[in-house]
Amino acid sequence: MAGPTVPQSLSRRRPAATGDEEATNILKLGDMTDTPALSVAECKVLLEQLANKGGRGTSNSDVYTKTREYVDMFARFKDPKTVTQVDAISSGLLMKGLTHFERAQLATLCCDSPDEARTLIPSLEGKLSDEELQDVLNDISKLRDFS
Amino acid sequence: MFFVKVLEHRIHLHPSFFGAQASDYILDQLYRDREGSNTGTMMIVAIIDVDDISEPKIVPGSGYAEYDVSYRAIVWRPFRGEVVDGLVSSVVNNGFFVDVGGLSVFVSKAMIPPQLKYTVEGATPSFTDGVDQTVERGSQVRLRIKGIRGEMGQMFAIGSIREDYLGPLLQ
Repeated sequence: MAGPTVPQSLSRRRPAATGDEEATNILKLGDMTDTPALSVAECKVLLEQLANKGGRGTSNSDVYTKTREYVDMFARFKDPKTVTQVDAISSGLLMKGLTHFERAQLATLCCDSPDEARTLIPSLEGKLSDEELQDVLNDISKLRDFS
Repeated sequence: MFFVKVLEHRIHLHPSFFGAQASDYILDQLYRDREGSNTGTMMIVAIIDVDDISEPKIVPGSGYAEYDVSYRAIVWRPFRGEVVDGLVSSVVNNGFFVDVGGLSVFVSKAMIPPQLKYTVEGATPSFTDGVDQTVERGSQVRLRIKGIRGEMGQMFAIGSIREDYLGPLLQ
């Protein structure tokens, strides 16, 4: 090859390859692997706390407003205490090999049966037994707010 | 899916702001730049707090001071294969658009179960099977994200309801 070669240390490091992240039967979350995930209800509680704390106030951006409306509409648990209880129930699962992503999905989607949960969250296959999953789903449904 | 992520941002401060309130200006700049931004792969919804502001470094040749700010933020990032709930914003004859937070997902006719047919009643178009399932503007729908494309500042996605447990939610 003609021309001087650039020593390894002087060339800019390529940013990590993106574009192949997926959440199907295998979880490839890229740089979100091992990042704590929030269910919709947890996010609603957190956004409310941040807004009430005052300080910098809330953003007027499109993204922020749409997200606030979205979490208000789709949060399955309205009361912060209930959200903490759901968090406690689903956090036990992190010990059993579930990832942050799967735990937050379970708390967001509120499935009725282990079959539904495994269909909607394909990566759950093989991680929990039917009874364990049914127990967790029952505990979560008891706390659901149907108002 | 919402995540709490630690991010870093590089801020340049003009010399006229060097003074006792430099840290306030930096925080203002951070909030203005990053809160509510869409990087093409994820949306930064809200900044929770700032972990650390580095020591400033003067940029040679320009006099600006460069700070590396490390902060925690709530980000929203969609993944291919993820199941999400959303609100239908419009219905057209080859599918419908669903708003999932700041992302607009298009579900095309090929990804809709054949029982749901496009019908127009009066001025309201909808996809309905005539019995109990209807998708129209304002309906809540559970869908699986099938593909995402991101450019600087915008994200586009397509989704499917053609699977078990997906489709309009009972309200």
